[in-house]
Amino acid sequence: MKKEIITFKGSRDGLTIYCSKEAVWDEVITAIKTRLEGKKGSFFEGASVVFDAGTRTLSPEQVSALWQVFQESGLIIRSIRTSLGKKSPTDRIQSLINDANIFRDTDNVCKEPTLVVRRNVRSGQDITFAGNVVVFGDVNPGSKITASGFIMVMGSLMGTVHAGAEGNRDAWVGALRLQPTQLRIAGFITRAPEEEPLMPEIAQISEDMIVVREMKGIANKF
Amino acid sequence: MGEVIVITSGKGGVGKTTTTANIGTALASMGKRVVLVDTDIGLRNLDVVMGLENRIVYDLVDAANGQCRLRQALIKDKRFDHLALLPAAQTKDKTAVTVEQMKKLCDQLKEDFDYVIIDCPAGIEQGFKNAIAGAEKAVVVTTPEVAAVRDADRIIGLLEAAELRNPKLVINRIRPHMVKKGDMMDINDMIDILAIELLGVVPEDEIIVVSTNKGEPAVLDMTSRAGQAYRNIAKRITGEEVPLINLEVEDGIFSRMKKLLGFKS
Repeated sequence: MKKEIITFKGSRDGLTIYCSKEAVWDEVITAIKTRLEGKKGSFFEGASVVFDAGTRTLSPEQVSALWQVFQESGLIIRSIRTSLGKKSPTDRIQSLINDANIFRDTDNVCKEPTLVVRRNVRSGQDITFAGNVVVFGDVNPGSKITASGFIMVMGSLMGTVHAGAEGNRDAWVGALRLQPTQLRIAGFITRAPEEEPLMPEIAQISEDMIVVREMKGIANKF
Repeated sequence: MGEVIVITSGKGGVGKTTTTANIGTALASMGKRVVLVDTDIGLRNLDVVMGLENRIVYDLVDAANGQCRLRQALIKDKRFDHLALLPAAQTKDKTAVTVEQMKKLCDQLKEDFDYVIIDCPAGIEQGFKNAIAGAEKAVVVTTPEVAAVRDADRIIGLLEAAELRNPKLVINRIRPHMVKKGDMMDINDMIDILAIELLGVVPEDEIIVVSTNKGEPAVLDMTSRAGQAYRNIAKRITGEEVPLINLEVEDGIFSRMKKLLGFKS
């Protein structure tokens, strides 16, 4: 029996499109096009589907080709699934770097939301964010930044900062010029040392103390 | 249609009232029609510094509440015909006028004067909000002190939040020999933190003490260095380019400042 290149299956989770293992990618795309051709305004339109790619790893070009086809026929791809694990469309970055295993390791990537502030923070201004905070500018004395993750200031840090505000002791604070009025990481608190900083520095918790080091070779500090 | 400029600082005692009186008088001496508005209700000082305290009949609160016509509350200056003062009330406080009333007053004054200069009280509460209500431009005054710069930074943040963008900076009461010795904040450090354009630098001058007590603004005294600085600031407000006066400091700071203001050093 000739095996279908693609099959539509309905289940409790909704509609899933499966493609056969043997078929070449071009065949798969053509088959999808044919099945959905003229189907606009018909049964499938507006439906959100899961595309199961089997054991394939889709390249970015293949993913965007797939999007195109579905868009033209009014279908919405809810997620692209492979037997390597369920992936959502927003994880397209994931499929790009899938082969480089080092980037799958959560030690090396941080997918927590990160707020990027693109101006100086003035005295009296407070920023609180559930995630990491990066400031492209100065943080003036009298201002306060509170983050559950890390805080990085690409400028002079002279205000008060609290990283790891929900208790994460791995959080850190870095700045091109680290001279905070007060620096807190998780439950630890300290103030800037007397000397003016000469180069970028990073503050982390080490053995129950906040330790400030030069920020050269920052990757190794994690 | 005139320009409405608010002179503010956050910190008290840095020289807002002195700056208002002197810039206003200097502009009037250049032939401009100027009105000075004192919004420090309850703690009025601008009338004393201008030497007009004996001539107050009606004040800002009266005019705002309609108890008199705006014209009746304006006091003509002793020396210049086209310079006027709208004094604050001494017996009320800053809740006596609303933001809407201030806006309306400034709109009326704009029509009859080239410059409406508003002397803002210290602080960030109702007095400040009233003062900036009708303003289009802002001048932030500070002294070279850490506490004053901290407050100025706060004020600039509040001005930006109120859509009064690009305030200009006046650094007041600077002592060049102390800056040289490193005992006083460097002008460049202040500009780094505050990150706004410099309008002028006024040196510490004993003549200011005498002039505010006598009610004769220092710009009228040709021997006063602060007066000279204020005259230059007034010229810059009208768009003229004026080099910074040499305050007997090493060239380094001033050629850098000149560059900041766009002059060739």
